[in-house]
Amino acid sequence: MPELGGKLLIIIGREYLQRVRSKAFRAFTLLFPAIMIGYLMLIMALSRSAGQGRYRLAVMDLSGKLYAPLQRELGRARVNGRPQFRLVSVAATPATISADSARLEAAVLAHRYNGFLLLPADILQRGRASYHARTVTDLFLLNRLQAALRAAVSRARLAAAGVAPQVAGKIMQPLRLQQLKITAAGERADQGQTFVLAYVLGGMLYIVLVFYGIRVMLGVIEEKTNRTAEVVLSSMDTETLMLGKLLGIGAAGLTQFAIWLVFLALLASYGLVTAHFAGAPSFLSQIPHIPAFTYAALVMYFVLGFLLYAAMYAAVGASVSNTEEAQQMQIPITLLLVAAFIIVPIVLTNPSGLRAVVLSEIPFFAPVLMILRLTAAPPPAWQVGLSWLLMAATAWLLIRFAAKIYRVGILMTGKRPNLPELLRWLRAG
Amino acid sequence: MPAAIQLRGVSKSYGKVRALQNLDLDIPAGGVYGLLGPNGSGKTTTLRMITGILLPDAGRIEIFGHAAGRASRDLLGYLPEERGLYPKMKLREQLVFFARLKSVPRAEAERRAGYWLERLELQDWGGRRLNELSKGMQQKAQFAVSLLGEPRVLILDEMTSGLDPVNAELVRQILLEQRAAGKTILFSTHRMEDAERLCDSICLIARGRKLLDGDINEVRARAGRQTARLDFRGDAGLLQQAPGVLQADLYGNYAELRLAQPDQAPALLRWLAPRLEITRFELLQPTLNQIFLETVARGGETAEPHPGEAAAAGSEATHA
Repeated sequence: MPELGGKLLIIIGREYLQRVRSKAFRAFTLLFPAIMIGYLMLIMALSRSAGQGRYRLAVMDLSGKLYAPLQRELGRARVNGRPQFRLVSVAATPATISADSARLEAAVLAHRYNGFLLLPADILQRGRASYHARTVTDLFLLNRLQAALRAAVSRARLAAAGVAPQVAGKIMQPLRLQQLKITAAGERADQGQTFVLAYVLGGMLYIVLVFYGIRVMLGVIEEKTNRTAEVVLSSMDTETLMLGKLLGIGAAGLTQFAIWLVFLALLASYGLVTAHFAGAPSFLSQIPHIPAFTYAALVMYFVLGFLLYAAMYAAVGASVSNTEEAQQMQIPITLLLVAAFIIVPIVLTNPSGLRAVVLSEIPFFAPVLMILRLTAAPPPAWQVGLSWLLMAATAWLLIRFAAKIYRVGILMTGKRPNLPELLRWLRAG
Repeated sequence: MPAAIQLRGVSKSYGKVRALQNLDLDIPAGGVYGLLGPNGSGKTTTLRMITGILLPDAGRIEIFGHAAGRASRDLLGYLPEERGLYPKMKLREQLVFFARLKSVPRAEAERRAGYWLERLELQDWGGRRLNELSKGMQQKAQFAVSLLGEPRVLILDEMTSGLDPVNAELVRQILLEQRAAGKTILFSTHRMEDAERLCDSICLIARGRKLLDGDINEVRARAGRQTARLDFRGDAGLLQQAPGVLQADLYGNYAELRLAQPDQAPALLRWLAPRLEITRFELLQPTLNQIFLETVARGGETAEPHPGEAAAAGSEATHA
């Protein structure tokens, strides 16, 4: 057992102050939110501008019935006061279709049109048409064309079946599916901001875990290579030194993380306030409200996740003698964290499903996956509590394991131990 | 004299390599104790176990009656062979930090840091990071760290290695003060001349085993006066046949005779007197180096073979 007295506090104090007072700490604390916000604004700006383009399209209507309704369907859309779609009807007959198509293809390549629609004569019967363009990955355009064409074809079919235009109009009334997120605090419209937020919080957690885990590893290697460890260890146990390092560096990480969370909370509440008074939806007002419990859980997952991962990083640091060797040895740890992100889609599709629940209870994945679940669809309290319990138990085991490696490894220099040697260290410790 | 440090049956292995075998030591309180032996003989391992950095595989270590470890660490000051302080931490902060690690309260730690900065002529460098200091200054800082806890026992591993003459003199001064104040100083060295000048008691170890130990004068007396210096005129060839002479080294007009037994000197003199013209006959004090070499030579027959010493990762052997 480590000494839990003044010496532990002195180590914690040194590790904490050395880090918090450094310029790198201040720079990263300020830069990271700035980068995150810039990144988010960029994404939002890009997603808004998708759908803001104007299109010039040629239409070859061999059926002779669809051009006018299509024109009506698409003609209403406006961008900056000007029509979004300009349709040009190109005369064509089934006999000359290949020559006509070739001419239009040349026109598209010459940038006179964004593309052309080919509506066959039997379109009402067979329900097939084609769109030809240089780019066919513009999902917004394809969706609009498809919807407009479907509407036009349906109207034509209704008219052909003898349905009166007024009745047809009623049948064809558009339908909108609105997304509403149910939370304990009530319902709220949500167009994916929750998922963005979950990713941001999970990513933030991931970055601090890795960043501070690696700090621990580098700190151990530094103490080992500059031989400070031996002087310190003449005053205290190895367990105490290692625990002090973990807690001191962890506290520095938590400070940074807490600053970011406060910052985020301020932004979110500022966004709500401005949206309330100005009435206009702003960028800030799109940050979804984060319940206080989620903040608390974030801190908890940071603390436990840090102890868990940092213990492994400390063991790596103690068993290598320079940073190059450490690069290889830390790969398994990084893979664990990356795995958590690979699993994310499984959790997102059904955040309360069995697979998501089981995966998010695994201590190594819990920090990222539980944060995701907490923001996407809050899990029952017992699942959160269980994951904390499992993480705490795993962290405790890993810290004991790392302390053993640390005790033998910290005075070692020279060649890196192989697996049998590491196992012997574990027994010796 | 009560023992400051006592080792009983202490053994330590690194994997298959036996670094130390069944070591008994009694280091008296007060005075200077030298742990002597060649590189790789187990000196650093012994000191690391006394400071509680390493645990012995077997045996018992006590410091003023406390088991080595948590209870005894604050009684000791340690200067490791491989010097090491935090490169990016300011010197004064660093001294305060290490003093507090020896359970010195903050205010007192700051006072002591100030004292040692001044004493070692580092007062202008207290606000500098350690890596901005010259090598000599860093060594003085390291020395100060071992003294900050005002330890009852000062443990110095190969303290003279790498010290420039000015700093060596400063260190010697301070060590003499510490000794005069009744402190116990334990140091290791592979240089017998250092031990000869400073030590009150010594222990010789080689290949992880103790060869001999005790008060330095007793050790010398026990080793006996087995070398005779002879100034003479006459047939030097006679010396090889003299009774009780193992070896005769001729140096121009004098010779050094190695005797099989110290008490054979009178008989030898009686035998030589009628045969040579003797101007001087003197029994010499053996140097520690001679004692060491002879003990190793004798002990070498009984000591076990020592496999792969250089493979002792992390022990002295890696940086020998």
